Amino acid sequence: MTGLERNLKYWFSYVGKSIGQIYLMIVGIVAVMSFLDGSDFLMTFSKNLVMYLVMASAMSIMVFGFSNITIIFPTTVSFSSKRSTSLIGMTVAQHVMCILSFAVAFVFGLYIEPNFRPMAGPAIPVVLGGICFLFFIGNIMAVLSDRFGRTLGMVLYMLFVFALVFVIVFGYNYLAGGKGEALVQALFTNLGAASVIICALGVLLDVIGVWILAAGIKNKDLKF
Amino acid sequence: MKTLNCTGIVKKFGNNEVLHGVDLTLEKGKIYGLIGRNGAGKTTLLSIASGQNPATKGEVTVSNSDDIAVQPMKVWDNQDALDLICFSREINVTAGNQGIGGLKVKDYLRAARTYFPNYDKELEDRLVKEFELDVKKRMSKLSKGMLSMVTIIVALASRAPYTFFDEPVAGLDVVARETFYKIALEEFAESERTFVISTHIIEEAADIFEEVIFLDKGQVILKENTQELVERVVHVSGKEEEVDAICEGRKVYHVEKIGRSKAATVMLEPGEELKNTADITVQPMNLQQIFVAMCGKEA
Repeated sequence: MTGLERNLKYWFSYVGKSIGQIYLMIVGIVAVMSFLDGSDFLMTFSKNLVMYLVMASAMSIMVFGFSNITIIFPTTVSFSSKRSTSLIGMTVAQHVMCILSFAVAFVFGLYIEPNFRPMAGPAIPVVLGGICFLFFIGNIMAVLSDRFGRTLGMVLYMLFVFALVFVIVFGYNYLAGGKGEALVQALFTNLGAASVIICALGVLLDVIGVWILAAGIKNKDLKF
Repeated sequence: MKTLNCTGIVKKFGNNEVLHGVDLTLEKGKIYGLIGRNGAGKTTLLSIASGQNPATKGEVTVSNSDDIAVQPMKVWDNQDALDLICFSREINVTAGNQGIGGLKVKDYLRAARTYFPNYDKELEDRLVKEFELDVKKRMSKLSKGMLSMVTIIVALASRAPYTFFDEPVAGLDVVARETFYKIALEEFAESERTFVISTHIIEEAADIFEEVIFLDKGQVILKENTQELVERVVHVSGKEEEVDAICEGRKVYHVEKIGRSKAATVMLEPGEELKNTADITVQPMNLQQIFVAMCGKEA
């Protein structure tokens, strides 16, 4: 096996197991909750599952992103793996597992909300873009916590999130109220194009996040 | 020739330079003892030699061929070179149940199996049995000695041509230490592997070291065949003028004056022998005493 194959094998197994345990727990809790609810079990189960699955996936991107880069990644390096291949393995495994869980949530979402089905096509790139955006945020959190420690890293991360929200809101208002008004209206009337743009932006940010993470760990003295 | 070479290794942490241009060649098929006081730079040197952390300056190369036409490979960021090396370092589970601490021993060993290309599962099973290690336990539930066992198992079972142990017997009881020495020697005899063992427990491990490397304040101050070193370094004491005469032209490591008497640690020439006289007492020294004499203080 090449170094990359070993890393893909390990990271898929590790991330799969970690996320799998959480999802199993969620399914169990949601099943009990839905059973106790007394109404249509399948419908209640699906509604709850979608909500918890999306929440858990979004949280796991943040939590695992940090612990994987600070604890598991150094372990793989201590097993004589190249840093870059381990990072690729980690990134691919996390993305695939999270996309799969969002896909499950998406399918259940279509089941409980039939009116949403015609919009499923344009929604897929939006969901993908959203996942990529979450990974971007997760990677920024991992970089800041890894570099500045948990406390200061978390403070800087919060500042970063505030700044990001400000830029998004300010940027949207600026575009919607100014010369970009026509563009914004066009995007709202052409959901296909809007979803592709959102997806592309998400992917771009995700790539930037991974690149920042890779640059941060390239020549870093790892703590084992 | 099959060697691992460290050339001019400098390592700085901020403004603090911990390794000052270390040159070191490790030959294939030898057991080295890496001995140094706390903070001497042993772990830092091994982490750089194994490609786990970068050097500030200098280069580590490894060659796995006896053909001199084959260029040695750079270790840093080179998977082919990294596949030849295992540095099984101390496991830190202070993070509690997160990450490594939350892994079961069997999961940690499975990860090692995935990464090391020559990993020997049979040897792993044998070692788990010999150390009576419960692989179903979480890493965070293991004692320091048990964590040392895990690192020993990974290092030995990795079957990496260059295997580095970082304080492998720390926390192990005497039975487990003996087991480690026995199996390490068996493994060494069966293979062409090179072992580097960093340790504080010098005397106990001295018998298994073919060569010793003394690291002091970020510099290799000595790299010698253990047997020859123990034969050549003697403790000379007696009348000051007689001791001075013996010291003349020889490497002297430690001098002590007690009243009109003097004592010195002296390195003799290969094959040279000093005998007791009426004015001089010559005593052999063990490895730990030699180390203490050379580095000034207790290891």
